[in-house]
Amino acid sequence: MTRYFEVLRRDGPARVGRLLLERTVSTPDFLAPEDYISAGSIFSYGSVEEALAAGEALKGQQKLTILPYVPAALHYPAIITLPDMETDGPKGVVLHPLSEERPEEADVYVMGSAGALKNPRDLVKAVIGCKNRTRSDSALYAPALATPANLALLIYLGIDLVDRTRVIADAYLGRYHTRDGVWEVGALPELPCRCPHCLALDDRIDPEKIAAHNVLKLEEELRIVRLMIESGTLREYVERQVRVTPDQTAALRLLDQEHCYLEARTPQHRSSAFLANTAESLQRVEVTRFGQRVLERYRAPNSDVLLLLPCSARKPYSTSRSHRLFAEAIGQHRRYLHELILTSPLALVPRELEEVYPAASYDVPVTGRWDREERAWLLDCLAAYLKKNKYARIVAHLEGELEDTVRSSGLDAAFTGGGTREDSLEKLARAVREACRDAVRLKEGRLQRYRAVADFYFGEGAGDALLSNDAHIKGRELQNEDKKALAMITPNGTMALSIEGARRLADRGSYIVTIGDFLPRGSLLAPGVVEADPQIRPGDEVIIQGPRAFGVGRAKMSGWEMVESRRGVAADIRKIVGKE
Amino acid sequence: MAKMAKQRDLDLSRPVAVWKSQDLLDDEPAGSLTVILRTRGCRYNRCLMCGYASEGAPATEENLLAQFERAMQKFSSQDQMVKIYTSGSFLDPAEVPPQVREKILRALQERGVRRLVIESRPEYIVPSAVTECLSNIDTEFAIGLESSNDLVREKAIRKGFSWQDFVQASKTVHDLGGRIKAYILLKPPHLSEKEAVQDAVSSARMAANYAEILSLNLCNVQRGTYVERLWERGEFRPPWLWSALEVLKSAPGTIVCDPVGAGSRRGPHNCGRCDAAVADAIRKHALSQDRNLFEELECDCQVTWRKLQDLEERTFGSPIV
Repeated sequence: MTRYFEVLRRDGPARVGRLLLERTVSTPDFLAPEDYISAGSIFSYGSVEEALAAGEALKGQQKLTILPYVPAALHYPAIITLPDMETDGPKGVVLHPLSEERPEEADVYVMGSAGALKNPRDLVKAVIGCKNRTRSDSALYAPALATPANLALLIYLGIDLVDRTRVIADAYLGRYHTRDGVWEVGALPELPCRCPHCLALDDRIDPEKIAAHNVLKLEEELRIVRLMIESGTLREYVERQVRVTPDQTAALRLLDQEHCYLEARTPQHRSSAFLANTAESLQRVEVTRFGQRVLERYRAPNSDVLLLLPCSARKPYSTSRSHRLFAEAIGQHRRYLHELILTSPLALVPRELEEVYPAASYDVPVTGRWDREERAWLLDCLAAYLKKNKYARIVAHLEGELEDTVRSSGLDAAFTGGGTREDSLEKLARAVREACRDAVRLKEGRLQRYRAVADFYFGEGAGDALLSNDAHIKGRELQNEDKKALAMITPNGTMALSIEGARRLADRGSYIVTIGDFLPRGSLLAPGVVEADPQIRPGDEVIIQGPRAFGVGRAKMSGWEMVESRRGVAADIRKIVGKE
Repeated sequence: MAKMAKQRDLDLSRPVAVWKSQDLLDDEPAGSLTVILRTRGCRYNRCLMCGYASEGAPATEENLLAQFERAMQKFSSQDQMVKIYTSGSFLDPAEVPPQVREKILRALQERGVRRLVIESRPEYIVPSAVTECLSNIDTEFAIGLESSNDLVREKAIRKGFSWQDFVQASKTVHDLGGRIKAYILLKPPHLSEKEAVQDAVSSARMAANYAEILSLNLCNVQRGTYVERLWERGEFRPPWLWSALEVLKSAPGTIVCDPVGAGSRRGPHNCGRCDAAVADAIRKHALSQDRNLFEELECDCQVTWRKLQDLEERTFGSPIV
């Protein structure tokens, strides 16, 4: 079967794609009436046979051909199930959004009765349900649902195609849309918009002009959403935008509870800043994933002394004024202690991981106040961390509510009161000096960093495998005993492996993409993938292995998606060599 | 679909309702008396839009006769037409036992009623029952055909009988010299406004060959029904009154319509400003069959109605509300 949809970029469930119809539709986009031809509802025919014959008659179209459908009652099973049908062009199939049945193959799935998905539970369940029972290289179209206010949420949920139907219809029902919601146009004291359609509206309410305004606002919003996806900030935008209605905010919270759905689609890395502005930010996959990896994959160096420090506004922390002052105060004792930074929403950032996403790029409103959720998350993480990583002595250079919080947990530590004033730093220096008496000197800091970062990306033990046999640092590179590069920590905090480095990790069996009997160049396409580690996420460093090739690259899609997809780039190859 | 009514407050010796009205009798308006008997209710009781079953109660023969007697207290000689409905099938012996039926028929004959109208599902329209009616009084047998389209009737309404069943019942009645009234439903759940209008128009056209008179029923949202649950979630909108006019204007032969609940959220409605005038014209038309009554009606919301019909063809299932 020919395929007409390809995903080009992903940011969480949101995707940028290309749908090849008579025109090329760059998703997320509107599916216009002229883009498709629909056989319509079975109830516009005299019998099911007649409806199927009408579907058959649509063959030979370059437009999206939407097969006859059975209208869905959202909370009831499908009234009838139609047999599968073939088309010879791009194929659209209408889904019952809350059914659990796997539909036939299609390029575009239309969510039936989507316009009635007003309840946030139904909406989230419907989109996730549709995505879970269709292939990831098909597009999802939600008809008659999009408004300027909800568009960002819809795209973030994973919908690729929307339309102008709802806002046009609303214009004829006297409803005036902006990104900030919908108003009865008659009740507005003045129009909040200066578009030409609004300027031309006089006392008479003209539905055509309101429709033109509504459509303009929806089109503007689509551009904003596309920009947000492009800049990797859609999540931040959605967190703001859902505030327009409690239903939308509820939908985002319900989506955040669907952790598996989100985690499977959340990239390993973004080049944009991570803004934790809202209560929902604490629930983000990036936060829980970072916390989980620190607790599960990361192992602290064998240090007698732990120093707890507060975060800084400037990232990475080491480049901030406060952390430079801490470093000066600690002085030569730095080689005798391990530093752990306490922060919200990431909870714990070991010094070696401070350049890793999102530790190096998050920003959070700092008031000095720690709310109950933040405290609980921090203390839970700290308790779990200290269960795994043991220290003889702990120095806590924390101040205010953060110090109170940690103290309240009953932690046995030398509390200095924190701060960067001269006397505060003096206290820090004294406490550290005291704690480090008789402490064991640690290995070189940069090696520890490589070990920690390797563990963070590839799993516990990866660091030891990479650092075996006299690996050493040269410049920004980790080299083996023959001075050949093994790995490099890139300026954005990810780890780039060399072929040599990959060989050291390949036996561990994780982050491996197994390909067919060929030697790819440049890009590895999804159809060439035979198997892929299901934990691979977009942005992950992956090891590419096949009967004729061995190489390293960056994943462009998740591992499960590489296996499932028949189109699209699975990974960008950095280096690949042939095998005999 | 609907639950049985709470039985404790029901007085089984009283009918559900009795009212006097005007109806079309052989092309002329005539006085009519409508009686709704409280029987055990429709035995089939699975139609997706029907809430009448909630009126059912275990009425005995004595109860039914008492209800009829009480209703007939309102009868006067102007009432040339009597309609006896049961929220089910008058000819179902389990609802109205044959002895009761016989007594009712005889009583009406004795009072000189010109025409009786009863309602029944086709399965109870059998020669013996039809003959019994017709031997007493000129009877019109009303059947809830709803749609001439078997797919719509079975899957969107769940009516439980076929077009052929209707045709057969019509033949039985006509062979014995009776009259048929066919009810056409505008709009069943899951049909868009446009599909519903088309379905009703073609149903009227087809049913007219088998019925002396058509009655257009505008779907309203009755309590406890499947349609009500759809409506509550924005998955059903009752028909526009403009749509009703479309059907009435296109129907061949006599077609009447009582726009029950017109102008309310649960009933057929337009924008709210024109509903009363349009409903009034529909009622007048039922007595006069004068289509000119519709020509004078006009409202801004006709544009909306037309536009939304086009847009609704692109929603893939949900109505625009």
